[in-house]
Amino acid sequence: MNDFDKVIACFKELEMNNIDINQFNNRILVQKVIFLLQLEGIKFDKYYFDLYIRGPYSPALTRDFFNRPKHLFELKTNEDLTVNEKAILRKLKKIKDLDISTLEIGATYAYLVKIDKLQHDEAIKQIKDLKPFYLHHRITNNILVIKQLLSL
Amino acid sequence: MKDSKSLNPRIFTLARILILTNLVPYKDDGVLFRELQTLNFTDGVLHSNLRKLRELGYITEDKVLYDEKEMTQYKITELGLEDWERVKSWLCDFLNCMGSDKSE
Repeated sequence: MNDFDKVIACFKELEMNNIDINQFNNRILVQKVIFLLQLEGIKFDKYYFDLYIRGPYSPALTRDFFNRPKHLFELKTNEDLTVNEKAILRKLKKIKDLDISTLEIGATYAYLVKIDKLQHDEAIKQIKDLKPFYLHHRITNNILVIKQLLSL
Repeated sequence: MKDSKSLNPRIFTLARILILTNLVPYKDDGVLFRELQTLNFTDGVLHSNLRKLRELGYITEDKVLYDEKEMTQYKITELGLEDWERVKSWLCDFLNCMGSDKSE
């Protein structure tokens, strides 16, 4: 399956509709959700996430959603996910209720802990350096939400 | 050194190099001012360098909504990308030259 068709299929399965890529919030949402799905075991061959100024980010994913914004908005794909992928998405169903800052902080925390292998306290310290505009309690609360959702 | 004359010397400040480096991966998305503040320059230094990069045509400034708040966003332009790539490539060549000088 083409990676971007899998992205659309995932959003369809999560019932996350009307993703207008012209809105800044939505571009962050797509990036962070796909990163978290990949971390939980849904494979995207083309999307390599690195840690940038806004946290984990894949330029290739951005290129793809700018090329096919209408397909994403309408969740237009004939592709189907595997049973295993659907099971992962069922487990992560609540991801669609998360606000954008929770996704941003949560994805950054997940990257630091799972990929950079930092300890919890070190990860929080690094998030504070990367995102000094968030208050301590917001960072810790958002991390708690993400930890409840993911296997961290 | 070869090709040095084609470079714009006004890119060569630490602030401008760091700003452009951080804007390149987000060339389609843009970066918020508050994110650039994490580069640890004072707001005055950041503002003046962003203004200079805008005047050079290397970046654009827009307003976007993030979490229902209006924020200032910067994006690198095609011209900015082209000149940045030229500078980056020159710097890599230059540093390699320095490396080989050392080993001789």
